Amino acid sequence: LENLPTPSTSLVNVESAKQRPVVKIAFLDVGQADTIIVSCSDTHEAIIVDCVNADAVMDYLEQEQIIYLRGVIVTHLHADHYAGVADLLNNYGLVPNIQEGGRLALNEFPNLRSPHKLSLDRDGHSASYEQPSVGAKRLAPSSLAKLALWSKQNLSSCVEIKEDGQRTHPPFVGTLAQNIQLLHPHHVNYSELKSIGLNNTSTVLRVKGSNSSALLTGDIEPDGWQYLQENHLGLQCDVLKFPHHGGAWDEVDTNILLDHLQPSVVVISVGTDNSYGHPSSGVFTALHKRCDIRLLCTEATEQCQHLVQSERSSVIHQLELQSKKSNNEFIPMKKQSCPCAGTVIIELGDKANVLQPEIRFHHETIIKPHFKRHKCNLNE
Amino acid sequence: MDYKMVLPEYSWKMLRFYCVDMIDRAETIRGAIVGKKPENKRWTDFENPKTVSWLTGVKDVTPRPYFIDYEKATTIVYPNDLEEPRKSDNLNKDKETLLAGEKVLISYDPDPSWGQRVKVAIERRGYYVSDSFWIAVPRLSAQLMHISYEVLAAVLSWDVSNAWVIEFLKSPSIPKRALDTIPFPANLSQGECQALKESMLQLEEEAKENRYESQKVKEANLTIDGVLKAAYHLDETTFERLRKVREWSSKSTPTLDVLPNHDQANWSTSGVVDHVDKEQGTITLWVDGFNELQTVQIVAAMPGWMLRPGAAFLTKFPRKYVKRGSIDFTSVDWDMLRPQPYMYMSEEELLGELTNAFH
Repeated sequence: LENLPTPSTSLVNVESAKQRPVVKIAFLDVGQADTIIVSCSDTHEAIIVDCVNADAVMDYLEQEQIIYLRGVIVTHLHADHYAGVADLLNNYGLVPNIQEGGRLALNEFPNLRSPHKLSLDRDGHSASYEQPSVGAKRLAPSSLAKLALWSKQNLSSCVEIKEDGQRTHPPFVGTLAQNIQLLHPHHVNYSELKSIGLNNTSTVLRVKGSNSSALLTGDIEPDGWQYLQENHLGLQCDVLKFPHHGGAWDEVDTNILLDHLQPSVVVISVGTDNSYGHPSSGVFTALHKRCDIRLLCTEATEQCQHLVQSERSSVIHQLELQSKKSNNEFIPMKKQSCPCAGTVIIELGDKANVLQPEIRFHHETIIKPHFKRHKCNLNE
Repeated sequence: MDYKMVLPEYSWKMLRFYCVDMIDRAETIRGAIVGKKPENKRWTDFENPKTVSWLTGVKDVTPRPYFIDYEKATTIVYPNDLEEPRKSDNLNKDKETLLAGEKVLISYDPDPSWGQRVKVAIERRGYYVSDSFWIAVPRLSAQLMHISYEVLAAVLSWDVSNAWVIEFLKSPSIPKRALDTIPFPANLSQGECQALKESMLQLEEEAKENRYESQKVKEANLTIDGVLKAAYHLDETTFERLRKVREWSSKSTPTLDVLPNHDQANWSTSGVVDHVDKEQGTITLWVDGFNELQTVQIVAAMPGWMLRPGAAFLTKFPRKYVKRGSIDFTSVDWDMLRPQPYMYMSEEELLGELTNAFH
């Protein structure tokens, strides 16, 4: 009983929020995967949460004039979350002015030493997340082998990341890590979580701005969410990175989640070409009823427009035009996908401020003309 | 065995389809031999000897291409001082007209540490030259086809002649058969000959002033390249190969393969060989970060173990390929290719290997 997590008090009001520097979060448009960059322009720091596209991350770090790459957190070991991590760790030195490569942080998974296959996730995926692209079956082992090699060669840079009631921040140097709070998984729950799938062992993080926050949820599913919710009170946030690319959550579970968190912005990192039907219709239904939530999907899917790929060139063209007008625009180009919000950049200041995409441009120039079956609530 | 190294036999045959032998366009003889033994000098009592200007020693007389240092000239008594060529009353056998006239000089014994083996200069003053040179003079029939001394010099000093001579070299010196069988473009037009002539005159002018990097030199060389590439019907790959041979030096790596630029290869990545087409000389790769399989040419940097499907490798190549989403088919800018560790493991074993590093 002594090891059981103690429910925290409201996390929002624990510290003196006004003293925090402005933190920016970028959800890169990388298709059916996650690549998130938490950065602070005041301190020139960045922390990466999952990565499948090292080149795009490095371009963003260069644009933001990052000097200190404090660390890379892999929320869980599915290829759509780690496939670009080794390339990033091996190549970050090409970013001009960068001085520090940081550390690699993983969950502790003692069960993975077992030769047994992991349990299936709720929506039936195997432990090795298959991506519908050429050479997909090579991606996971190749990336994992590179990551294993890097780890062997950089043992001192490999750190466990776990919520044990004592360590509340990622074990990285610098001040940015102090703005990130570890929420899940608690180490005493590992064995139970593993039995309900690797997704539920996703590292869940709260990123705090001066007076706003974002919740990064990896691929956690409703069953795993129960554990998180029981361990922490006051999980309200301004920005929610919707778990698992909007899959594995039905309308009821989504409503419970949204009621609990009360976000004003929901980001779904999803790929046009995903074969899983993400995001689920239940997620869209629940979100559509909430006028106070701005939904931002990085890419459009067939649920938004029949033959959505045909809209790609027009959407890209509009995004490029917009990028010439704004220094904030950042568009990593990816084939076989049709952006909607594209790369989403949010500033966590006194409130969560969506820097990209600009709301009117997104609604009027992207969504309305291109995605007739869109699921967004466009009340501004 | 007469074995071709610079180009394969069929390439030479293809090239010769548009050529005649040099001997059809020019007469070639060695320079005169003074010799040391009086008994070998058969014209010591020639009745009408004459003192003539004399050029001997390649390094002294032609210290740089297209230039003759006449200040190094001396004199000899012709033909009394000579062993060869012998004086003859038969005009067909008497070679004095070649010795005494305008001529193209070719180093007989070029420095073997350089790929540019055929070094030429045009001798216009009628100085007699020693056997350290070959002499080439366009035949009258060729001159009627606008093949001047300058055109001859341009062809002789260009990449095809150079490569052909190298194919013959069993020793540093150039044998006559090599010179006489140099492929000479069969159908140079008057305009092309004029362009070659003007370019060669330009090169000579610049050489007098010891300017080898000037804009005029570059333009002249471009003109010569353009005319002769077309005249020989050379494809770009063959031309580049011949040019590489010509640019060899003893300080360069002795290989015909284009070498990678390791400074360009800056992106660390991994891949798996999908399939190999040895007949086409191509290899198709799955490379991390690319949406499509990448087919590229097999290059020297790719070791034998890699040339089989399923081989997993680590390497570096230019980041621009990642940005573009494709690798140049002809790219040689691969860093060292090495086997990727741990690829024999199952996913579960790999996960175990990875997490072990975190404890």
